[in-house]
Amino acid sequence: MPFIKESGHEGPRVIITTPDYPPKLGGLSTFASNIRKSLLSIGIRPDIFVWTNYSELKDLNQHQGYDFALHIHYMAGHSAKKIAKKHINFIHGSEILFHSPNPIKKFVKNVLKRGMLDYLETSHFNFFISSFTKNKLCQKGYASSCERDVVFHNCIDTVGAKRVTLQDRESILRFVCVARDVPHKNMDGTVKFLEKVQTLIPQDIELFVTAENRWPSSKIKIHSIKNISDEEREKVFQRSHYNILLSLDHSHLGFYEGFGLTVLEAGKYGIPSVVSPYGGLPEAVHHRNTGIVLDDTLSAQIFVESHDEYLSLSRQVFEHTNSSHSLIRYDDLLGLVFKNNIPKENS
Amino acid sequence: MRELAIFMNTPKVGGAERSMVHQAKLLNKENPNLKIKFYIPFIEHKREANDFFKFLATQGFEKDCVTLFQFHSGLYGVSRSGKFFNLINILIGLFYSLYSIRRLKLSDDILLWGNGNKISVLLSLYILFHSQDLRLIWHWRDYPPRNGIFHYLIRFLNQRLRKTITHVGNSFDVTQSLSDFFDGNARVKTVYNPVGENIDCNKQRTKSSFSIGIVAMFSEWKGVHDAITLFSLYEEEFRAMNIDKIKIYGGEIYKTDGGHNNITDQYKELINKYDSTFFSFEGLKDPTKIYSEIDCLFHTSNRAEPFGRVLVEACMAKVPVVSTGLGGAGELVTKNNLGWAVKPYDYYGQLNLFSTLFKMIQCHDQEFQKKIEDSYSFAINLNNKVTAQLKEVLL
Repeated sequence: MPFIKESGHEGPRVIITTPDYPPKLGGLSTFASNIRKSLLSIGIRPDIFVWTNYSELKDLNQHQGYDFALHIHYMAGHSAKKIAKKHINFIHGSEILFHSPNPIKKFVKNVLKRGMLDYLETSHFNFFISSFTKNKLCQKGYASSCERDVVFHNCIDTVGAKRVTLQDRESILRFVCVARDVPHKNMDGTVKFLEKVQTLIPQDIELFVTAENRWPSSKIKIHSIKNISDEEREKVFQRSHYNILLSLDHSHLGFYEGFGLTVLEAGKYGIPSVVSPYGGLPEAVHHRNTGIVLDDTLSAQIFVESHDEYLSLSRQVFEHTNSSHSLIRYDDLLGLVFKNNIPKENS
Repeated sequence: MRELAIFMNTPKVGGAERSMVHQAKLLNKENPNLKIKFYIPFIEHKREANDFFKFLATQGFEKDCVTLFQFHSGLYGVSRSGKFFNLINILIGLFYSLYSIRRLKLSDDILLWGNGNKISVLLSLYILFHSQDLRLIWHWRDYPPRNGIFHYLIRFLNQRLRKTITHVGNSFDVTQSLSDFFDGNARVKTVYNPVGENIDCNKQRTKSSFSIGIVAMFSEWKGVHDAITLFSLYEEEFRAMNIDKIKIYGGEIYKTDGGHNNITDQYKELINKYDSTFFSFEGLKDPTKIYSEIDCLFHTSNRAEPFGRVLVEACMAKVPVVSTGLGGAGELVTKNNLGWAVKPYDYYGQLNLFSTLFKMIQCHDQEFQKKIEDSYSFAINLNNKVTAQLKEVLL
């Protein structure tokens, strides 16, 4: 269903445009749904326009007269500038690289690049999920402006959050890696790293991966949890000591980690994350406070920390995730953006 | 060594320049026989350095210890703008500026001190082409560049002049970065920025309303706009803490093309979009005035800060400091425990920290008072530490 009309009440006319929306699964689908919920919580009922390809975006131009358009992917705003007085874009990650493995698509994106940048430079607000993403866009020729560009880290639904304290850390260390087995997610590097850690610590290491197990490791135990449900995945997080995500910066190939949502998904249960220093990951994880950001100077020796140090990380990541990264923060943000437009009964 | 020749990077008096002059003052006090001369660049007119002359006079340095020389405008614009530059313009700028330095007829037994990268690159080239008997202290006011032409040029110069150059960083964090940058093949030392003047505010601390100050040159990486977002997001909550104003001190002191341009207008437009009356722009004021007007300093840099001079100034005025704590600023706030650290872009976490802090202020919490006194002690003893560090560099 491409268009869901919900407005018609008091308050500003707002539309959310998105390439994904429930019941379709995925990060952008969840994000769009969360933005809608936040708008509803401040008394604004947005229309929703769901698009799956460029030709559908042309249909968007039929819907005009909006005060605000919120774009989960900025391409919609670029295609339909006239639908609203003010455009607000949420910028996540790789979509700002203007890259495609298809050379024709890549060529087209680069031809359109200047137009896209011009659109972003004339938008009302651009919300970046990390400063890395903002800086990456600037490297592509975007002229950043303090009055328009705001870094606002990702948030997640923290309903059901509870701090898990596993008692078996002395005998076993469980890591979970929720990532597709694609080059920039660096699954090979993850396995090698944990094999190195295994040589330094007495505990057995187990790694749970949401991919096919193609690593015949004799040093660590690897379990595939491919295709498990969201509910089961939450249980795997709760049984793990660490979340691990050692993504690489493959911007030149069109991929990098914009933020690292699994860091929050694990942090919700007090599970600290171990991450690489690339992309938005060093912003998602606060080194030695909510997790560990690896760099060349850090060796696997850091896993020989005391149980008290681990408990401290666990407590801090739990508190931080459930307060600073709760979905309520979107309410705060949109409440500010729409401050003078909130219907009176909700202000 | 008969003479110390301090070369400045700019005719403007910014934080780096103030720090260098204060360091020179400490050296002068420690060794009155040391002849100190300042070499100040101008781009088009000598009058660009008028403010510098005035500042030097307030620090006890008369006009006769100052010599002006000309920088080529194309070279001057490069580092400030950060934009892709015209290589031909750069080369012309380099040769012209080198010629300017050559015309100064520097003798071989003076010690050169380059306050910043641009001038230190020029001085290194001068030494390379003219006289390798000269010694250079390359004073880094920022972290080493990770890429670009200067990354390779600086490494090349260090390799050729390793025995001639001593690299000085503003903090141990910068010095560590320098060691890593040069793969351990360089002489590196740390010299903290001194406190230039006693800041004695005699402030009334028992009051019913408070203000938070942001003190920074206006530049994207100083994070003033991030603070505007924070205080606008939670204006109601901050007002409930009896905070009635967020005072923004500073200005666009580096007026060149690029990201620094018109940034004050951008801040004002952002405040306008947020429809807030919480902020005031106070302009450029001297530290004593600033810290007498605020109850807390919020240091908002969103990338690693080499030192964080304003943090020490606030400590000297017994004003509590909240900082994003990146780089050298983290060394002060966290390792030296001079203030309270917050995570960048963690708006809600920052709100919570301020809430806790202002409760402590209003309740005259003893732990809070002790931390303020300890920070004050650090600040007033800082100059002794800096003098010792300077002596080590000169040895």
